[in-house]
Parts: sequence; structure tokens; C-alpha cells
Amino acid sequence: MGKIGLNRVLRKVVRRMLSVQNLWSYKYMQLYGYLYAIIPVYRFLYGKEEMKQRLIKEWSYFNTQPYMSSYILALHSKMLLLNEDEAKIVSMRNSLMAPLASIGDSFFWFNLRTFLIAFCTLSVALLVEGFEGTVFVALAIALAFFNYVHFYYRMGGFKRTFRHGRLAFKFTKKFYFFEKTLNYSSYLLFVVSFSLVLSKVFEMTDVKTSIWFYIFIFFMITDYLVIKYIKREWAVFLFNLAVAVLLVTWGII
Amino acid sequence: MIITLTVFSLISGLLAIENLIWGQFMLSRPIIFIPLAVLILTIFFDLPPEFRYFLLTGAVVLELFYLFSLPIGSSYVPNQVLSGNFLIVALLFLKKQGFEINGNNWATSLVLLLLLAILVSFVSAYFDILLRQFNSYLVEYSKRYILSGEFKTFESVAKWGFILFFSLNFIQLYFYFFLMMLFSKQILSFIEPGSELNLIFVIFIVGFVAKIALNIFRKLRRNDLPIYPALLLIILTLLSGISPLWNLLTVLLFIVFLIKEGKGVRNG
Repeated sequence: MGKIGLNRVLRKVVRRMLSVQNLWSYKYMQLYGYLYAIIPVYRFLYGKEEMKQRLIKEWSYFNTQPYMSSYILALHSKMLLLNEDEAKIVSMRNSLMAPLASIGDSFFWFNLRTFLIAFCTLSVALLVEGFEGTVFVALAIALAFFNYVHFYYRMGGFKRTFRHGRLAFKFTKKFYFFEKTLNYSSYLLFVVSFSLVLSKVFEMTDVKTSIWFYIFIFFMITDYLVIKYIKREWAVFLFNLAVAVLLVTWGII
Repeated sequence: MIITLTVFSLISGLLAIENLIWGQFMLSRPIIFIPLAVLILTIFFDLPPEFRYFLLTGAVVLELFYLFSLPIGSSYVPNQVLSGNFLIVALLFLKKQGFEINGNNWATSLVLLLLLAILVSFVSAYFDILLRQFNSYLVEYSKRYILSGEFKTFESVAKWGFILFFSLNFIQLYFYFFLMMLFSKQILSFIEPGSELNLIFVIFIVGFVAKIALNIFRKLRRNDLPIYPALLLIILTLLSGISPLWNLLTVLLFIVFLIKEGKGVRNG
């Protein structure tokens, strides 16, 4: 049970936690991926019989945001090293998975991913404007930024939580400010990208640009009303198609 | 074409694994992998510029369409990896059939191929659901290895997760492609008609973008949006006169923000 052996086991857990969603099922959700990731620690610490007794107690559904699972896995490993009771570990796992999923979904899926997409949309929109070479560099930068933040929380989160033996995730003002900045930046990037792409599309037709402005305003308002009152996504597309057919067949455009 | 299809089916399987099972580094987002595919196709196969722009526009539209399909819990998420790959192989196939993109058919072909790609993503989501149900049996079955103390065998079940998911996505692209091949004549004849149909679809695209813009800005709206700094920003933008469309969009989006409806996003 040397330190080198432990480090090797922890590296194995970190590698395996990348596939925490493997064999995702409706009944157990991420349970298999989670057990697959944590098994090396059990094997390192316990004999076959005790390992069996302990793992069978873990057999209940598990689900959280995949990046945030690292925090739970780190605490789980630490508790096993301290020879904590399995019931206590399961209780920790079950009480943490929902709050961490909520933070992870909001931060990673909703804000960080949206920012990545907004940045990439702008890059592609710039391509339409003729900046061909820079687009791929911009995409690489966006991807690198996303994965830097991703690894900071996923790998770094595992390391910090294991070292301190407590959840090393603070919902601080700094974090909140970062999340808010991402949100507002996405908003601005989308505005710029839409403007660039639409103006290019309008240039490609014979119709006056000012007419397109009115059509766009019309669609913004009517789509809003259709979503508000009919509450069906497909109804908006059908409505838009019907308007397009009417505008062209009546010779308005 | 069969080699191209096989290559993209392989890519599709690998990206699907990256998307759900291993990593989630965002390489599998249409806005990332389609431009990468375009870059490779341009360098090695000299893809014409109009096809490049077509694919890149398709990547943006697909990405924005799936933007709020978040993989949370057991939510139903369309398979954007397959739809992106389908868009690429379908376009390459039509190009091989002599199809050319020009000013009279770009909107029709874009709408038609995107609709097919979106349809593919929704159909394949049902196969994902079936696989997830099958996974329940597989995980249940693997429990016996823990009970019998065969931990190595328990760990070896993991590879089945990868194999099944890869195969499902690999086979599906073949299936949808051959289905599209059967109807390729009808697709080409639909795209052929002149500029009137194209204009209808340009207007439809404008409506589609308006709907997506509305969706994005309503969902990104936060409860604590600083209205006054935003107003200042809008005034500055209007005064600078960068582009009339920019001004229009900014004002419209500000109106959307002002509409007191829905809860918006809370503090995380």
C-alpha cells in the first residue's frame, strides 16, 4: 500500500472516470460507469470477500453531470482510504449527486457550451465575410478554452477534493461572475453572428435589403405569438413556410 | 462513394462515443466536426467553395437547432453526430451525381438536406432509447459477476458498451444513406425548379433564423440582467451604425428581454 501504488490507482480512476456514462441505462443510469471507475481503489484496499460485500451495497442508481462525477469519485476514494463504513459512502454519493448535477448542468451545459457554440458560430460567420484562414484557428481556440475549463473542474476537481478530503467546489462570487460573463458574451456573440450571416444571405437575393428587415421583424413578432399561444415548435415552422409561400405566390416579393 | 461512406460511418461511430460515452470534449458538436471535415475535404479532395459554404451554413443551423437539447438525466436528445455526418455524405453523394449549387437552388437544397438530417437525428434517437433499455439488462446481468467475485469479468463488460454504441451509429449511417440513395432522383428533381421555389425557402430560412434567435435570447435571459447597462450598449450600438441589421436585432432582442415572461436562468 505504498504511495506510488496509490498514485497509480488514482490515475487509473481518473482515466476511467472519463467513461462514467458508459452503459447508461434507464434503470441504473451511470451506475456501471461509476463502479467501473472506482473498482481499482477497492481492489487496492480490500480482499475479494470484503470487496464483494462493499460493492453490492453500492448497487443503486447513480446519476450526475459527467464532469462533476469527479468530485464524488474523489470523495469516495478518500473515504475508502480512511476505511469509512460503506453505508456512509453511499449516503454521501446519493446526497451529492443531485446538487452537483444541478450546478454542472447549469454551468457546463447551459453557459459554457452555449458560449463555445456562440464563439464558433461567429467564427463561421466571419468565414462568410472572407476571413477564411482564421476560422479554424478560432475554432481551435474555442475548443481549447472549453476543455481548459472542463479539465480544471474535472481533473483538477478530483485532485483538490482528494487532497483536502472535502468537496473542493465553492460556489463563490468569482464563479458566479464567470458564469454571468459567459452568459452575456454568448448573447453578444449571437447578435453579431446573426447580423453577419443574415446580411450576407440578403445580399444574395434580388430583393431590397429594407424589405428583408420588415420580413424579419414580422417573423420575430409572429413566431413569438405562435410560441406563446399555440405552444408547438412545429407550428412555427409550418406557419413560416405558409407565409413564405403566400408572399411569393401573391407576388409581394 | 462506398469508401467515403465507410470513413464517415467510422467517424460517426467514434464521435458518437466521444459525445456520450467517453470524454465529452465537444469534438462531436456539428459546429466543430463539420468545419474540420470541410477543412480535410478542401485540402485533400479540393471541395468547391459553394459546397464549403453550404456545409458550414448547415453546421451552424444544425448546431443552433440542437442548442437547447441538453443531455440531462433521461431526456430525449436527437443524435446530432449522425445528422451532421449524414449531411456531409448526402451532399458528397449528390455532388457525385452531378448536382451543382447555384443562386437558384441553394436555399431549396439547404432546407431539404437539413430537414432530412434533422429527421435522421430524431429517428436515431429512438434507437438510442432502445440501446439504453438494453443496457439496463446488461448492467443487471453484470451484477452476477460482483456477487460471484469475478471483478475482472465485471470490468470487461465495459467494452460492450463501446462496441454496441459504436456499431449502432456505424450501421445507422449506412442505413440512412442507402435510404437516401433510393430517393435521390426525387430529391434532385425537387431541387431543380427555378428561383421562385428558392425564394420561398430563403424566406423560410429567415423565419427559421428568427425563431432560433427568439429561442436563444429568451432562454439566455437572466433574471438579474442589468437592464440599464444593456440599454446604454444598445444606444451606443445604434449611434455607431455598424450595420442596420445589427441595430435591428439589438433592439428586437432588448424587447424580448423586457417581456416579463418565464423565469429566465437563475444564479446557476
